[in-house]
Amino acid sequence: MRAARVILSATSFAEARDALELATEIAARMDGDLQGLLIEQEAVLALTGLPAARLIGPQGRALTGIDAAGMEAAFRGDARRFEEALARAAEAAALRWSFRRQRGRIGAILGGMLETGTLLVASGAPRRRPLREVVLVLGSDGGTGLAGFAAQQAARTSRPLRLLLPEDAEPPAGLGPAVIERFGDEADLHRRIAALDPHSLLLAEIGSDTGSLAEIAQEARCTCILHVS
Amino acid sequence: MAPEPGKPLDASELARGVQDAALDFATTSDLEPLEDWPGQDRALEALRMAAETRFPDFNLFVLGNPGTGRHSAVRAMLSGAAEPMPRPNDWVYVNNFDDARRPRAMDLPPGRATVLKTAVEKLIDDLANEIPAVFESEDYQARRRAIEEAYSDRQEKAMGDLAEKARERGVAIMRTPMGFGVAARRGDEILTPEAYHDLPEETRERIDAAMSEISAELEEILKQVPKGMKDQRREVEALNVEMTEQVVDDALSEVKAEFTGQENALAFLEAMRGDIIENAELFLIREDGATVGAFPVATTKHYAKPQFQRYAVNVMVSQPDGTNRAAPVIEESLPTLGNLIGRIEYAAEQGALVTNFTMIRAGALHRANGGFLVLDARQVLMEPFAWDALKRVLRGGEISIFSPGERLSLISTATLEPDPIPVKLRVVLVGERLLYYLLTALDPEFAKLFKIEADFDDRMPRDADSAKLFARLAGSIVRREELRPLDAPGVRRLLLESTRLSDDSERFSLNLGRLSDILREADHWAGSAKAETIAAEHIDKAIDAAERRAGRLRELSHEMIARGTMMIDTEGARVGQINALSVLEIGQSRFGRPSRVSARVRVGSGKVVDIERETELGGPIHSKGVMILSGYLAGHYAPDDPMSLWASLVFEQSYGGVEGDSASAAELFALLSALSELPIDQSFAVTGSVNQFGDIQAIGGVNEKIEGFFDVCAERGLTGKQGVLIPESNVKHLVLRRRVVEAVEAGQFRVIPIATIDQGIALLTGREAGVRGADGRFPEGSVNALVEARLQDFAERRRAFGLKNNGLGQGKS
Repeated sequence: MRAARVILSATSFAEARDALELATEIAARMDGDLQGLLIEQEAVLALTGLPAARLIGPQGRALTGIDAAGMEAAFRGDARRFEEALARAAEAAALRWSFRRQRGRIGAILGGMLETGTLLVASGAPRRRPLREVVLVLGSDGGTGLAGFAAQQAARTSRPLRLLLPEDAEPPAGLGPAVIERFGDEADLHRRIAALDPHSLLLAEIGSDTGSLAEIAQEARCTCILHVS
Repeated sequence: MAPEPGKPLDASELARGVQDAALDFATTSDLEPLEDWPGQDRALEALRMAAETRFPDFNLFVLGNPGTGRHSAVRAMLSGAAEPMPRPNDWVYVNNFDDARRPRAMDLPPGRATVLKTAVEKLIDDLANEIPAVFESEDYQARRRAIEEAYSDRQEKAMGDLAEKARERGVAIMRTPMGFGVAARRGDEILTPEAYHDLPEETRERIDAAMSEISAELEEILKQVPKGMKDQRREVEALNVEMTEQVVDDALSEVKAEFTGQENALAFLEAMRGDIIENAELFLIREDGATVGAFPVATTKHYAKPQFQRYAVNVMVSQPDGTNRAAPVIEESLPTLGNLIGRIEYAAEQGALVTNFTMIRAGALHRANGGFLVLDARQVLMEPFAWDALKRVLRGGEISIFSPGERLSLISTATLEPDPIPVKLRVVLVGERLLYYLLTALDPEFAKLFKIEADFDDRMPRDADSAKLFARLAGSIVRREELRPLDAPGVRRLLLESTRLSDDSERFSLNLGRLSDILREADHWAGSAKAETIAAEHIDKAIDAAERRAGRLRELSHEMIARGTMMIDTEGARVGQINALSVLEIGQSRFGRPSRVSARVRVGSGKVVDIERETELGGPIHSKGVMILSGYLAGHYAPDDPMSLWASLVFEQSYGGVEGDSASAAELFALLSALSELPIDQSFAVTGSVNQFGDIQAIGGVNEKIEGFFDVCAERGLTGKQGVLIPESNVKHLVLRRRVVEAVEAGQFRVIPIATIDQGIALLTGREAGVRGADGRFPEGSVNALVEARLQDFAERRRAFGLKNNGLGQGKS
């Protein structure tokens, strides 16, 4: 399978750092360009102006005196670190790379970026935590390019592979041992995805319905690899 | 028959050898080898004492001249003494896991050090395979995952519950670049300020309370994360220890079983166990690639890897198993400080010098521990710090390794302070007598640490029994050196030469080295002659060849005399002139030669001028000799008159310095000749020292001196009148070369012992010396009378001179 570009999207550098290794590996495997995307959520930027909104640091300390400029500066810092880390990883893997920042809402931004041949890596829970399972979602009209990668990740981490298929789809041949579940409709699929353990790895390949994939990226609490085939 | 002073000796007395010994064998092959050292009973007793006694300060100094068998005797005696002694323990250095700078010394039963080393290497190899396997096992992975998932689940549940609660309370939690943000929400959107302000107050309060509550809970959850991580780590560590302990204990039990009852080894293994468990991650370090060359990983020598060096066993001393060797006897031929006490080696790493306990090296003292150490005294004293270190070890009873560079603060680098190793051994120093006496006089510690001396004699009395022993000794030498056997005449010749080497016809030399040299060269000549045995002629040839090789200077000296450059008379007579004799020893060359001594006299104030002394060419002993003969003159002649002699004595044509008093008799004869105005027969040469009573005393080198004068006379043609006057007490030292003996036999040369000055002056002047009679006078015309008359005349003249100068002389009022 080839992907023209692999987009690593994150709303902060911490998210990006956790998924960077995975994104680089996929880009190298798929022979694609590696693109970094820092989404500066409007809602986060607005926090500083909201009455009663609170900011809490990663160590659990309340942060005070942070204004919009401070938040902007934090985003700029994250962007710089994201870009630097991306450049190092891409150069080490001999990949073409690029980086951009975009402000807005996640769904809209992702929806606009996903096109055929694009592979999106969206970080969920920190990858340093142990992986629970690999979940592969295949649509009835989508390709099966991610199947091999999913099976490889499951084998490498010695974690189970769960395959979510629509009722009328057949599992791809040669996938190896997997637990097969069938989902009814899209809503059912979204529920299952929202219920996934944050330490799972979700790979989804669903035709050209980019809107659906963007929703999946927002709903899933785990790291996602989404392919528009 | 005892020699008669003043009468020429018979040829048979000039090289008596061992004609009286019954050497009743054909060759030395017929004789029992001699494993002993004849004539060295005193030294051997001392050696035995030092070898058998248990006191630590009874170390031994073996003194004597080179070639007397000191080293071979030491080796043989110590080897014999070491045989029944128990094998000493092995010694190793191991890591001190609490302080790597202080390696631990450990002793083990003999032969067990290498067993421990091998066992530990195998243990490390096993653990290098087994520990990673444990950590890769399903069981470990599952248990570790369970721990991590438990913490992760707790964290996630807390966050998940909070997120749910927040949603229900209308609060959104967002990730931000700074951590988390908590804000009010309406549906999926964040509540704008305008919308917030539009809310009823009650709603706003409710929202504010919810946000405070959610924020507080979020803060609490986040604060618990580090603690949770720490607790998780602790649990994982405990799991790691538990898994490692199992593997280590299983592997270690085999090794411990091999060392049951050996507390040292068991304690070390226990300490190693603790360190392995604490540092199990060392065993998880992987090289790139699963194989090394063609061998699968399981057979790689893991113990050799740097991370496992801390578990190595550095064997310092080990007594090999499977042999019957007893206590060690070690000879260190290069006793540098490092070779004696061991050394700590360093390696360069990135510009710095580093070391560890595996780089400690044993020295000779370690190897000899429990046994004997033989050292050359001169070499020990010449090596910097070696003597001091040796004494320190003997004093303290332990070996502490240090580096001289560090001691002098010349290098400053991380170093080690290994445990000292207790030592129990006997040190044997072998050296010259002078060194022994200097050490005794100048080093107060020496006498405390080296209480026994084994003094190897240079010679032993010659008799029939010792001659037979000597023959056996010669037989042992030829066997050891794989030479032809010596026939009986050859033995006799060798015995004669042995007496020559000892400068005494009544003593055999115990310079076994020199005798061995003669035999080896004689064997060479025997081989050239295709002989089956070494005969007397081969011994002669060896001796002559050696003398010829070393004879360039002797020939040069004689050539100067033969060509008249050095003026020596060997016939005629002259007043105040005599041939004295001296010995020159340069390198391997030792030869005698005549020197002209002359004396001049006149009236004076009683001074005998020693020109050698005046020009600082005479040594103190020579000056003493001249003063003694002055004393003789003063005591023997004109006792009632003031000594009014002025005399000068000199060694003519001597510019290199004169020492010793062996020419003092000759000097006195020259003086007496000058005083009596009687000429001295120049056919004679004289050697001997004189005392104040006119007795002639023994001197050294009598053989070379006689031969030196003989060769000069022989060069010019022997007249039959020539000869040498020697002290009577030197007759027993005569072992002259055959050429002299044959000349004496043929009546062409004479060797005449004298006991007094009177005997000598009579021979030299042909005039009776004279004995003072009852009237207090010497017989008229005798030498002594003429001498006394001259001295009295000097006294009278001096008196007259004095009166004249004072105006009291004749013709003055």
